[in-house]
Formats: sequence, structure tokens, C-alpha cells
Amino acid sequence: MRGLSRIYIYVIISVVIIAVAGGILALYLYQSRAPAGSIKIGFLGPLQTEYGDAGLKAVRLAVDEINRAGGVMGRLVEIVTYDDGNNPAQGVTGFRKLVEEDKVVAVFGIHASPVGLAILPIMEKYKIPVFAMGSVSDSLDINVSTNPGYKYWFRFNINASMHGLMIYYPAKAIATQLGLKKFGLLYDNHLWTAPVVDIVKRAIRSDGFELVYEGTIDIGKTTSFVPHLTRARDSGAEILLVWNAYGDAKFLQRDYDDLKPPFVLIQFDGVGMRPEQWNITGGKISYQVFGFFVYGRGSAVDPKLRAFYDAFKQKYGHDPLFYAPFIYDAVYAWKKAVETSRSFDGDSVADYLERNGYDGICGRWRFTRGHAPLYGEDYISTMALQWLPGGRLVVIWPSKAAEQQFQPPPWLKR
Amino acid sequence: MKSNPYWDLYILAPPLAVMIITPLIIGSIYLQSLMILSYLFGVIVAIYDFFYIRSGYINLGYTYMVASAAFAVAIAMRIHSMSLSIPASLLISLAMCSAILIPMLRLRGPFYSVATLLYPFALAPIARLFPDVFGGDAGIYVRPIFSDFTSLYYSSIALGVLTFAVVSIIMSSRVGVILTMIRDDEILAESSGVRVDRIKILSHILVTIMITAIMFFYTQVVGAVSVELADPIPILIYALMATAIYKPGSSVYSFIAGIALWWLDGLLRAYLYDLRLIIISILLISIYILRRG
Amino acid sequence: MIEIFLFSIITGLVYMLMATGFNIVLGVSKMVNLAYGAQIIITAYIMSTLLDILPMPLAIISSIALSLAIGGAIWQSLWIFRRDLILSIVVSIAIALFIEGVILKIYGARLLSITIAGGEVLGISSQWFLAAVASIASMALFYIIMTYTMLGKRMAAVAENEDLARYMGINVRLTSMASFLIATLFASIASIAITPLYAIYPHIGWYYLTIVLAVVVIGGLGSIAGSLASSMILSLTQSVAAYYIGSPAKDLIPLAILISVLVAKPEGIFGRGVRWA
Repeated sequence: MRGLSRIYIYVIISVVIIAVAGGILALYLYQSRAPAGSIKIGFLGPLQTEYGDAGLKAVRLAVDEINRAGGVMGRLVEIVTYDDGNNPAQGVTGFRKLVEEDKVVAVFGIHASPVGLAILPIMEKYKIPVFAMGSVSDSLDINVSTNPGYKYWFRFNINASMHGLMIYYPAKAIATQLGLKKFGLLYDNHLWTAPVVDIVKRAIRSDGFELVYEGTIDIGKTTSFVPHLTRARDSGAEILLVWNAYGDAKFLQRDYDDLKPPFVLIQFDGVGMRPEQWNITGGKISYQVFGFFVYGRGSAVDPKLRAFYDAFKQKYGHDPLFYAPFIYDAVYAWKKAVETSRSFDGDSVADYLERNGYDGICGRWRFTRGHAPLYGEDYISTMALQWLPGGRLVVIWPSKAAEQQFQPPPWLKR
Repeated sequence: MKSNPYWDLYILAPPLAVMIITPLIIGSIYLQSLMILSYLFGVIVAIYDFFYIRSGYINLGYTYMVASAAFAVAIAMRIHSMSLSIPASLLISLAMCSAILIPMLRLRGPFYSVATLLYPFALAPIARLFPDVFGGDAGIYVRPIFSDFTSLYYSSIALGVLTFAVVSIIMSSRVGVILTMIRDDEILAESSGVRVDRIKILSHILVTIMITAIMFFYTQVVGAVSVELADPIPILIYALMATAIYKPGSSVYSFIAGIALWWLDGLLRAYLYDLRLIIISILLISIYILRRG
Repeated sequence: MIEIFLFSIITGLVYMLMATGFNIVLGVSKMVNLAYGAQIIITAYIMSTLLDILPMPLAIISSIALSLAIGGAIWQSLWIFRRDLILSIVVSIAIALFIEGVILKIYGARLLSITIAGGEVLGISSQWFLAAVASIASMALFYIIMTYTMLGKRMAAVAENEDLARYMGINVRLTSMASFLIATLFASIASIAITPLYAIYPHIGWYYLTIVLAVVVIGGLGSIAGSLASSMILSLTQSVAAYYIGSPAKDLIPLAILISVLVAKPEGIFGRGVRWA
């Protein structure tokens, strides 16, 4: 590796450095050359993951629509992004950059709870409204509710505990419909499920049901759910509630279909709550029930939500991940707050939202003391959908959006 | 390996001067926090160079140590008395990091590297098992000790300088020489009567203590600790890149390169996030080939 | 309980297939190929694109062929720097990152799903049947190569003592390349067998790598028999633990095995002495 090869390497390094420097310079100048009078908002999130990607796309869609209609208070909106990689150090650095250097008037995004926690003091200091699409840990709610300086934080997503209820409520409805008593729980072996399981167990107890099985999923390593399903069956479970956020549920769905155990399956599959799931599993999800944060298709669904789904699909070529409609509403909520209070100022925006909330495509956003949205049929609700043979996906819960009742699988003894 | 380590320290003067003067000229806390984080990262890299690269034991689980130290600090800070927190954080950190000493005493070469790579991935399951200790979903929030950012800033600089002083003393001492001997031919060193295992243990303890001290300031700047800190990508990559800039064990150059890479990472995240990995991988290969080709 | 055994064995077979590839390269060429996880991923992504244009059998063959070509390029890069441990490790990491970056750029961050085999065979999902058959066939092929062919004997000789092998006239370079290509073939087969069952994303290659590393370290670095034993042990304990211990405590078991092995017999269950490149 002498002579020529060395020169070659020098050339590569020089080219890369020049290209990178040039690219950064170009982008910096491009960003600085923004139309006069435009206003900047920031997007801080894990841009190289599916969540960050979906969130940013939704924000871009909203901003494009807003700008086409004349902007906010006559000023066009510009998005400045920073990739935090779910890392608090990068999150803090990125937040400071957006707020101090780019002078954004609001920040959207935030997926990881540690990032949310880390930026709270900085948010307080600069009085910048933050609209989180994730960061679902209850400790955020607690911090915000006990510290008036953190009022600028709003989470446009149901918090961790609510993830539990969104499966439990429809499960309870099904259990009531069929007269079932014995519940089983299967959830990710991850920090996020702790408050989920906690609230569900309490609900099971207080509603007089019996918990007969509890199992955990090793994320990314569970190649077969047969042990879990047979154990649940042997424990006498009549309905199994599942929480998986990382895509392993695909296995579960197939194994359940292969095994056909004598219990109902209702699941939170963070990745699989989408129409494509039928094809992805080769149709092996008949009779299975999925909790959906939002679902934009179906006869009883709000037409505004369906319009969003269509617009997203048209612009990006695929249906949106569940984060998308939530953060889309957040952008419009911010716009409403600004226009009503005639100011971009953080205090005005925060006070307005705290008092009035926002009626969006996902429902009515009304915030708790911890600035999490109220969960329920009149506020931000979720849905439960059931797959039927032939690939039909129908809403079975809540009753006001339901297209039909839950259909028990034919192999169930009742 | 006969370079005078004290000469190298003079190279530190210009960047140090810049760092000391900056808060007096530029008020931007964003820039200052970025400077401190990159500075601390530079020190972390310098330590990596001094101990692991110099001795030839390529520790791919370094981020496990960094994250363990950070957690140790965060956990210890829950005690509201500083005189107890400091020794507590050192003890916890030493306990957690002792696990990664095992491969060093039992394996060598590529096998050592392969075994150490597993450690960072083991931290997340451990954190999951004890959510009350490791902060659960949201990680651990670290309460601020410093009354204002400026005192935090200058204290961090002071710590960095102190660390370099310690590293330089050790490098020019018997320990430094033995570490180089281990890299050249460990078996020969052993048969010459050098107590290799003792040196390994001693150095490991020193490294752990230094990293813990640095992570104390890191957690003050960031305010939160979570398991993402253990992810080898990109921290380990930057450490490997920075240590390749000059000869192994040349901590000063690694330090400066570490600072530069942290800045580059920030810039890429802001302006070219979708090309970040590609750019870094090309740089990584090029730097290494250049240095060692 | 039979179902659990059956599935542990199939899982273990796939783990073993992946680990064998890594071990071949480590044993014969003394190379630490940390781009192995990325190699497994890239086959899946190539296949997902080809499945849209070519009929399935052709798509599979083409993606394996393309992966072998990429594997050859990776081997060449690692071969040049193999005298320098740090450099070869770093180069393999850089290649892994580069592949990940390219995949991210082309395919985006979204989770990808591919379907190869649907339906059931003999009462188990066809995908699993395929995985089992592919793993067994590959291991059988490997056994035949090692025992009955000159290539196998050369590979064993080089693994044992490279300098001596060279003195005896064995072309070490070609042998190394052949072993790397075999490893790449195994990675591709494992990819086709197992990734349709996961939702894959660019970063998941590192998780595959950790599975491989765990199997390899426990079983014995450079030892094929060791990978067989440890992959079975790991998958069996995982499944049995999943059945009997629902709680998070079962996560500690693979970790406990790993640490015990490192403390008691660091060269692995079947490893032979502390090896130094």
C-alpha cells in the first residue's frame, strides 16, 4: 500500500471532506436564504428510524398545506430538522441549536422519553412550545404537572398507561360479550410496558376478572411464540392481551393461526396495526383483533381523518404510521393557538392550548395537568379492529364507530 | 515510542485557549455546551487511546464502560450529599465495569475484541431488570449541581486538563512502558518478569475512575442518562477513528480528533442526516488506510 | 412440550448456520468480520427488490449471487489489511456502516417485510420448514466439503497453522477467499430462511451480529462443533425459560451463560486454548 494507493486514498479523503463541507455550506446558505418574513419551526427526532421518518413526513404535509393557504398570520412556515438518534446528548444539543441558533418558535417531534426529560429545563428557559409525538413515559406527565415552568410541553400522543387501556377496554367488551373471565397478558420485555401492565392489572382486579397467565416477549429474539401460546393455553386463559412495539408480533400472529388455541387474541402491535398486515402475514390473522391508535379507512371513520390518510398516501406513496395523524394535529393546534392569540410567543400558545385544547382530525385534544391528552370516547380515542377471513378489516370498538360486533373464531369452544 | 509526552501537551495549548476565551466572547449556550461535550468526548477518546489502543487490546465494549459510569453517577446523585455521592459513584462504576475486565484477563487479540463487543448490548436488558434503579422508561434525570453554566464550563475544562496531566504522568511511567510491551509481545513481557495481569487490573481501575469523573460533567451538561449511551454506534466508531489519526497512544492527537469528530457528527445530524453513516464509513476506512497502509 | 423442543431445534439450527459462517472466517483466515450482520441484511434487501421483477426461484438465486459478489469485495478489503488487527476490525465495521447507510438511503428507515413461503408443511409453518431444511442442507454440504474435498482439507490445514500450510504448497489466499465465500453463502441462506419472519430494518444487522457473537464466544471461537452445541444450548434455554419463567428474569440466562463461560473457560466450551492471531 504505497505510492499510488496512498495518493488514491488522499484523493478520496479530500473529496469526501470537500463534498461534506460544501454540502453543509450549501445547505446552511440555502436555509439562510429563506423567504423574507418566514417563520421557523423545528423538528427534533430520530430521523433514521421509522417513527422519526413518519413524524417528519406528517409535519411536512401539514406545513405544505398551511403554506399553500397563506401561512400562519401571513408568514410562511419553514421546518428545520435535527436528528437526535434517540440520544439525550444529541437531543439537548439539537434542541439548543434549534432554539438558540435557528430561532425556531416551536419544536415538534421527540420520540424517546429520555430526550423529552432532558430538554424540559431548556424548554422552560427559552419558553418554546414543544409538541411531542412520543416520549410516553408517565414521568414526563408528573414533571410537567408539578412544575408550572414546564407548561410549554404538550404531548400529542396517549401516554404509556393509556396504551394499556386501549387494549383492555375492547378486551373487556369482548369478554362481556362472550362471558369470558380468565385473562392472559403477554408484553414486551422492555421499560415501556411497565406502566401499561400496571394499569391493566389493576383494571382486571377491579372489574372482577382473573389473571391466569403473564408472559414477556424478548424483542428481536423471539423467533417462536409457541412456548408462550401453549403456556397461556395450559394456564386456562380465555382471552390473551398482547403488547409488542417492535415487530415481533408478526410471529405471534402466525403461530396463533397455526396453533388455533382456545382463546381470543387481542393485541397492540405497534408495527402491524396497518392494512398491509394481511399480506405480510400471508393472511394468517383471521379473527385476530388489533388495537389501532387511529384508523383512517372504514365506513364509520371521520371523513377528515380519511382525507388525511388519502393526502399522506398520495404525497408519500404509503399509508401513515400511527404517529402521523397525531403530530399533524399538533401542527394545526399550534397554528390555531398562534392565530387566536395573535402571537408566536410561547406563553400565549401554551396558555391557549391549556385552556382550550384543539379539535383535530383525531378527535378532541384536551390536556391534563401533565399536558397529556384526555383519553376516552369524547376525546382522543383509539379503536379496535378485527380481521376477518378474506382480508376484511372491520372496526368492532368503540360502539359508536363499530361496524359490527366481535366475531369469535370458529375453533373457540363457546 | 520515545516521543516526549510533554511536548505533545504544548499542542493542547491553542484549543484550550480557544475554549477558555469563548464564553467571554460568545454568549451562546448552545455553542458552549457543544464545545464542552466535544471536549469531554475528546478526553474519553484520549483515555481509550492511552490504554486500549496502546496496549493492543481493542476494546469494542468501551461504550459499556462509558454508559455504566454515567449510570453510576446518575444513581449516586440521588443521594443528596455530595460527599457521599462522589465515592458512591466511583464504587458503583467500578463494580459495573469490573465485568468487562474479565475478557482482558482471559482472552487476547480478535477473540478479546469479539467478546467485549457483547457488553454494550447487555446493558439494556440489565437496565430493564431493575427499572427502579436504572430509571425505567425515561432514564435517570440528574439534578444540576452548578449554579450557572459558566462554572460548569470551566470546571469541565479543569477536569480535562487534570486528566491529561494524569495520563501523561502514567504514560511516561513504568505502567506506560509496560502497556507498550504488552502490545509488542505480551508473552515476552510476561516471561521477563512483568506482572502483566496486575498492570491490566491497575490500568482498568484508573480508566474507570477517570471515565467516571468525566461522565459526572457530561451528565451535568446533558441532564439525563439512558441506555442509548451504551450504543457502540457512533461513539465507538468515532473513538476508533480519532485514535487512528496518529500513532497509537498519542492521546493528544486523539483528543483533538475526537473533538473534531463530535462537531462533524453534530453538523451531519443537522444538515445531512441521511448521508451520515455513509460519510462516516468512508472517512473511517480512509483514515485507517492512510495511517496504516 | 414437544412443540417447544421442535422449535428450539429449528431456531438453534438457524443460529448455528449463521455462527458457522462467522467461525469459518475467524478460524481459517483469523479475520473478525463485523460486517457479517450487514451481509445477512443486504441479501434480504436485494431479494425484496428482485422479488418485484423476477419469479421467486430466480430472485433467490440472483440475490445469493449478488451477495456472493459483495462478499468477495468485502473479503478482498479485509484480506489486504489482515496483518493488522485493529485495521481489519475497523475496516469491517466501516463496511457494515457503509452498507447500513446505503440501505437507509435507498430503502429508507421503514420496516421491511418479505414473504417467501406460505402455508404449512407437516404441521409447521413452511417458512420454518424451509429454515430447517436449508440449515441442515448447508451444514451437510459443509461437512462434505470439510471431510471429502481437498478444499476442506486445505481449510483445516490453514486454520491449524497458516505458515506450515503455506510451506506445504497450499495457496492460503485462495483458501481464505473460498472460506469467506462459503461464509457469505451461509449468511445469504440464513437471510432467506429467517428474515421473512422478522420485520427488518437497516440497523437490525447488529442484532444478528450479537446473536452470532454470543453463539461463537460460548461455543468456542473458531470451533464449528462448538457453534452447534452453543446454538442449541442457547435456543433451548431461551424457549424453555420462555415457557417456565414468564418474568424478565429469563433475560439473564443467556447473559449468565456467557459470563460463566468467560470466567470458567474463556476459549469457549469447545475452544482450544487461548488463540492469538
